[in-house]
Amino acid sequence: MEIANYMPLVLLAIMAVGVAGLIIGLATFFGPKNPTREKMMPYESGSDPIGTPHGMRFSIKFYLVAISFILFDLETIFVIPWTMTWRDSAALGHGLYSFGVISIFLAILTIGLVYEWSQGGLEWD
Amino acid sequence: MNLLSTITTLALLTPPEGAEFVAIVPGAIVTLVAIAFIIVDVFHRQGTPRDYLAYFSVVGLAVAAGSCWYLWDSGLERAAFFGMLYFDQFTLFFSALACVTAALAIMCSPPILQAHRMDRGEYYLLILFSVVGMIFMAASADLLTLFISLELMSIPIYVVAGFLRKDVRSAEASMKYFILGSISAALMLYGIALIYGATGTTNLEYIANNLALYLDGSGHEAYGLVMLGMVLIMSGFIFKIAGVPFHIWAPDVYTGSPTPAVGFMATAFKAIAFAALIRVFVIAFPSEVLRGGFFGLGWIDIAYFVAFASMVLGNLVAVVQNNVKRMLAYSSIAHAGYLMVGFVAANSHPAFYLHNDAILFYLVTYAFAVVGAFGVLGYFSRQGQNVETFQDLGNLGLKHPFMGLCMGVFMFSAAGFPPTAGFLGKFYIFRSGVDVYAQTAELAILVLVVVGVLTSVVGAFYYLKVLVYMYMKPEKRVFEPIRHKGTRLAVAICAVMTLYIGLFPARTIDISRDAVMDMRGVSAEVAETIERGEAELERIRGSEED
Repeated sequence: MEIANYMPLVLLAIMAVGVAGLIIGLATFFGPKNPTREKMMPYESGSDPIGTPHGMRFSIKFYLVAISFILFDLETIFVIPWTMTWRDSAALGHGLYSFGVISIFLAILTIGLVYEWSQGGLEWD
Repeated sequence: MNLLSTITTLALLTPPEGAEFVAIVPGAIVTLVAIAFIIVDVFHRQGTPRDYLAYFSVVGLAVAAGSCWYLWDSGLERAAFFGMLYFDQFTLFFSALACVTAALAIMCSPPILQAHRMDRGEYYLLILFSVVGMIFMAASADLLTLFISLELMSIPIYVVAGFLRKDVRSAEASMKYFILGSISAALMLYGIALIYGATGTTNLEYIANNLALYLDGSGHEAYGLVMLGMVLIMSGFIFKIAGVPFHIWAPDVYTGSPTPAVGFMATAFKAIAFAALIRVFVIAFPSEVLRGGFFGLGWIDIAYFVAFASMVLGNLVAVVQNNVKRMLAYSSIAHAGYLMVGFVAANSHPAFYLHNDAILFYLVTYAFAVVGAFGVLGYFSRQGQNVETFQDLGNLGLKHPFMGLCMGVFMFSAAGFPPTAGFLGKFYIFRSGVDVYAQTAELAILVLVVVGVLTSVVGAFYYLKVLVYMYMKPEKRVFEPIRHKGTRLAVAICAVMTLYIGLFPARTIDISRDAVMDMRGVSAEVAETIERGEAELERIRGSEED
C-alpha cells in the first residue's frame, strides 16, 4: 500500500474542490446581484414555503413516489452490471442460465409493480 | 489474484451445480407462496373477508415445513452457492420451526384483524416474507447472507407490529421496534465490517481459518479489533432474542402489536436468532482466546452475563406486571435467559458441543406454549379489544372450559411443570449445565444453574396467577369469544403438541440431537466431539437391538 498509489485520487479530490470553489468564488465576487423576493426563497421542490415548517403537512404520496423511485433505481443498478458481464458468462457457456436468473429477478419486481398499480400506488389522487 | 476473489469472480460467471439448488427449496416454496399470494390478493373482491387467504398461506407454510421433513436426509456436505448457505439438518430444523410457528400464528389472526377493521392481505404477506428471511438466516454461511436475511426477517415484522394503525399503542410499538431494531442492525453491521477488516472475509469458515492464522501469538494481532467486532455481532443477536441489556423494546412492542403476531414474534425470532448465534459463534470464533469461558472474558462470558441478568430481571419484573401481554413479554426475556444458560454450558468447551440439543428442544417446547398462549389471549375480545389485564381474565376459564384448559396447559408448560413439555425443556437445559459442572468443576456454571432454578420458581408465581384469575376470580368485564374455528384449531394443536412432547419426548429429542450433530463447517475439535457422540449413539442403538 504505497501512498503514491493514491495520488490520482488525491489529485482528483483537489481538482474537484478547486474547480467547484473557483466557480462559486468567481460568481460571488464578479456576478451581478439583483436579489428579488422569489430568488431569496429557499428551494422546496417547487412548492411555496408559506408559514412555519411545523404546521406544514406533506402528502404521503411524496414518499410513495420516492420509494417506487428507489425500487426501480436499484433494479437499474442490478441490471446494468448484468448486461456488462453477460457476454463473459455467455462465452463460458452459461448465457442462458444468466439470462434466467435476471428474468426471475425482473419477474418478481414486475409482480411488485402490478401490486403497486392495483393498490393505487401510481395514481396521484 | 487471491483465492477469495477467484471464488467471487466464478460466482458471478458460472452457475452453481444443479444439486446445490436443493438448498433453497424451503425458502423458495415460501417465496412462491408469497408471490402467488400477492397475485391472488390483487384480484380479491373488496368487502369480503380474507380468511381464505390466511388458510392459503397456512397451507403454503405447511408444504414448506413438509419439504424440510422430506429433505431431512439430503443435506449438502459443503456450503452451497459458493459458500453462502448451509443445507444441513440444523437448517431444516429451524426452517420447519419457523414455518410451523408462522402457520399457527396466522391461523389465529383473521378475527383479530377483522375486529380492528384492518382485514388486509398484507399482514399475512409480511409474515410470509419474514419467514423467508428466517429460513435463510438459519442457513447462512456468510455474514452478509446473515445480515440480509436478518433484515428481511425484521423489517416486515416492524410493519406487522404497527398493523393496527388506528390503535395508538400499535403505532408506538412499531416505531419503537423500528428505531431500536435499526440501531441494533447498524451495530451488528459495524461488527461485521470490523471482522471483515481484521480477517479479509465474511465467510464463517474463512473467518475461523484466518483468525487462527492471525491470532498466532506473534504479538502483531489487534485483539481489540476482533473483540469489538465480535461483541457488536453478539449484541445484534441479543437484541433479537430480547436478552438483557437489549430487552427494553420487548414489553412495549408485545403490548401494542396484534396479539397472534406477538406469538410469532416471541418464538420464531428467538429460535432463529439462537440458530444464527450458535452457527456464527461455533463456526467462526472457536479460538480459545475469543471464547474465554467463565471470566477469561470472551464471548462465553458475555453470554454468561446475559443469561444471568435476563433470568433475574425478566422473572422479577414479570411478577409486578398487571397486563398479561407485558407479563408474557418479561417472561420471554426470562426464557431468553434460560436458553442462554444452555448456550453457555454447551459451548464453553468444544467437548460439550452436543449439549446444544437442549436449546433446540427447549425452543420447540417454548414455541408451542407461547404461540398457544397468545392465541388464547386473542380469542377473547370485545369490540376489537383483547383481554389484557389479569382482571379481564376473571372467570373466563369456567365460562369457556376448552380455552381455559388449553391456557392451563400453556401456563404449566411455560412455568416448567411436569407432565408438560416445558418441564423437560428446562430439565435438559439445566442438566446440561450440571453436566458441564460435573466434568469441569467450574463453580460459575453451577451458580448460573442454581439462579436459573430459583428464578423459575419465581416464574411459577406469575404463570399460576393467570390460572387463579381464570378460575377463581369473579368476572369484571364481559368478553365475548370470537368463535373462530381456525383459532380454536391452532390453540388445540399447540396444547396437544405441548402435552405430546411432555409425555413422549423421545422423538423430538432425537430430531434435535440429529440437527445439532449434522451442523456443517464446524472446527476440528467440535467435529471430533460429534464423531464421538455418533459412535456413542451407535453403541446405544446397537445394545438396544440386542
